[in-house]
Amino acid sequence: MLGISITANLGLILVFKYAGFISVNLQALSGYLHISHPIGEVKLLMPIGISFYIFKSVSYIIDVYRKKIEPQRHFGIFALYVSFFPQLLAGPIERSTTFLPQVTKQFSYDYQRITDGLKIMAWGFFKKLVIADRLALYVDKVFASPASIEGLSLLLAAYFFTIQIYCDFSGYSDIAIGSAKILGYEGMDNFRRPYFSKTMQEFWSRWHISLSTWFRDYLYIPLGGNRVSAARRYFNVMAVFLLSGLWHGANWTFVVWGGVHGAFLLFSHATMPVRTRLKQGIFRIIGAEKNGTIKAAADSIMSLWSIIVTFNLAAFAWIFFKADSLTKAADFIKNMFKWNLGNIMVGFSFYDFLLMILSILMLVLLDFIQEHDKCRHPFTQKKDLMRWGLYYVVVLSIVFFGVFEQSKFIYFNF
Amino acid sequence: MCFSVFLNNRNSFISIFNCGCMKLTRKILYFAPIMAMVIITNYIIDPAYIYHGYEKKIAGLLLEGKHVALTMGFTEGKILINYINNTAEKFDIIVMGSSRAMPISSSSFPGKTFHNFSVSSASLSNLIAIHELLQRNRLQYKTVIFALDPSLVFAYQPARHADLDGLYLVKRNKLLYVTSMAKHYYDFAFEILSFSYFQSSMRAYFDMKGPLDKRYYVAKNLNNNDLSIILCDGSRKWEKRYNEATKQQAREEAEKYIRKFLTGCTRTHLDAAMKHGFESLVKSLKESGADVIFWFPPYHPMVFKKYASDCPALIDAQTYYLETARKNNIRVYGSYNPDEYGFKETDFFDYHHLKNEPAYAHMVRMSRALGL
Repeated sequence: MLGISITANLGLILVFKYAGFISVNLQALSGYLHISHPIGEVKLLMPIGISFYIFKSVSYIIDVYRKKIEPQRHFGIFALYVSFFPQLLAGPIERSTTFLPQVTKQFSYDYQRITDGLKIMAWGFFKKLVIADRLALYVDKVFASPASIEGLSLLLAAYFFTIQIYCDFSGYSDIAIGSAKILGYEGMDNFRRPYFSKTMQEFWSRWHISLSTWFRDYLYIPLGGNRVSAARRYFNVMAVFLLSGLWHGANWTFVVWGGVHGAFLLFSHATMPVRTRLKQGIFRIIGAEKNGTIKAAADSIMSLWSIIVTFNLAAFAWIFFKADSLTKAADFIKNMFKWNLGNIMVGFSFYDFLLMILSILMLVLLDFIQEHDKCRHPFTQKKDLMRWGLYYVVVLSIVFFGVFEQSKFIYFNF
Repeated sequence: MCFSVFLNNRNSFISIFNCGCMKLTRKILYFAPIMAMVIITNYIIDPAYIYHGYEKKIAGLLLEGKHVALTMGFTEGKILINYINNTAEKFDIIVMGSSRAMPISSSSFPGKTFHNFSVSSASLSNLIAIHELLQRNRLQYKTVIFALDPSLVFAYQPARHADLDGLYLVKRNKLLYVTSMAKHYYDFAFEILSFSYFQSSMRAYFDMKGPLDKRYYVAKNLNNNDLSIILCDGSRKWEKRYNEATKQQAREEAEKYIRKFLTGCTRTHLDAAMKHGFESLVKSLKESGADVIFWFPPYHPMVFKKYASDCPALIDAQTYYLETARKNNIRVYGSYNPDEYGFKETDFFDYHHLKNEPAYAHMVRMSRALGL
């Protein structure tokens, strides 16, 4: 029964999302092998949000099978869980174990809950409208024709997209979580400032948490998790990341993106002993083992270095995610390393460019404060003046600098 | 179970009204100054002229024989409707078409009463609406120069003139008319709160070439104009920077157009319903007793070359128009191909708009050739 349920759910996603991809690749393969195959190109309209609600359904089925939750016999409540509107289009992929118990609880008006929800939503709108959509103007222009651009513009576009996708998706998640909160539902965190990660492993514990934990709980652990041989474990990690890439879209660029992340993790794991010894060696040479001040300084520098390296690795992988095709991604990477200051503005005015940089700085500043204060949200300053000043800055930034003509959220495509 | 869920949610709903939510209301009101700023700016600057009826005043000036310079964009359809509703002139020649026909002026047809009824990005429905409005007002005209854009018979038609669209739909599709009017009134009511409109207002304010209370004025100097001028004959005198555009500037615009719009144009094709609508309009124009002349506005040479090689729809449209002309005994002048009538790259200021001087010379030649 479990097999039938999972197959039925994944069958839907296979048909609607991947049938076209499979048919195109079969055609290409048969052409390459000079054999004929009867299936023409399949073109189906993909139901919006299918990747998200199918994963919610599958997690529910497995949780019921594992007796983590009682089967929900009320169709309306089950339908509410699967199609809960704040999370319908792009997640977070909420677990039934946390969501369903909330449906039947008694709701009442709660000032604190509603204002908390509104604050989270406002921050989400700021990230989406002021940062992500403004950076998208530059990113889309450069990624449209990477073959005709060289050097710094491409590097900048890669960094900008790294910030854009974070603000776009975490912005959406904040809006979803905030609106669910106003309605009385607590949602799971989906992002925890991922670009402050010191390793790729840490990155995946902070990025799209609802998806990464889904793959961990329903694929990686059933495959054996960490309790298998090293070779099998490496295979499992790579399989999970390739599938995670494919989940994002029916295109080889996403598969490669997943593969690159898998490779980063394997490399990180395989070289961990060497890197640890290297770090200990350096600490010994500079005398950090005996001097607390030097150790603290060295630790800070190492942390900063690790953050920079992880950020750059993530930015490199995002090139495959954003590019329309592998050829364009290859052009992008090839031209990125040609040293050419060229026209870095690519047609944008100094004012536009300044706005992009300022919006990124504001994000970094607020994320940095949050990272170090460990507070849930930048709007939780104690002093009224500070807090209201920040509200006004955020709202006025949206009013003056928000981009309202830009496209939908990136993750609506998946 | 179902009832209890409903009850819980209903309680939640009711509790919002029963609770002491004054605190929340008060906090939300702290943002009122921001909304007030948005509303006041949107109303005062009003870049799309939603809240200020300037068009009637502009049409009035044109009817008085004055030329009007515009510091901002404006609602062309409304000006046209106001002009037609308030004139009783008998015209020897009228022009109908898009912005490409706008530089056609009375100076090419000396001694004739003339008016240019073109609107930017004119769709077939816009032109039908203008023709019906002319008929409804019993305006007389002997010759119609019908400037034919290929897009008139394409499936996709831009909907840019809400007022003209309303005139078209009111007789044909009540449901669409009501929907379009509802959208119009929705925009009227809610644009005032729109952040996007606020940003347009701010841009318009800083781009405005002149004081806020002087959005349009009677143009005295037609030869050194920084602004676009609507002449009293309905034609357009382009602003100086357009008429003085270099070959390179026009080329850049042409390249931009090719990059942006011609990609995927192989999917564009002639549409049967649009062809039928076009033929009905031609028939109606002929029945009004007018001498109809089809005029093909030329494209920038680079754009035409690209169209000819990659986008068959353009040539298909011209072939179709020529066939329609032959069937209806209609005279034809011009071609989409600029080479056929000796146009050079310097005659254009972008990918398909002629400068005033070449347009004037071309029309003089047409007037002589067709004995207008």
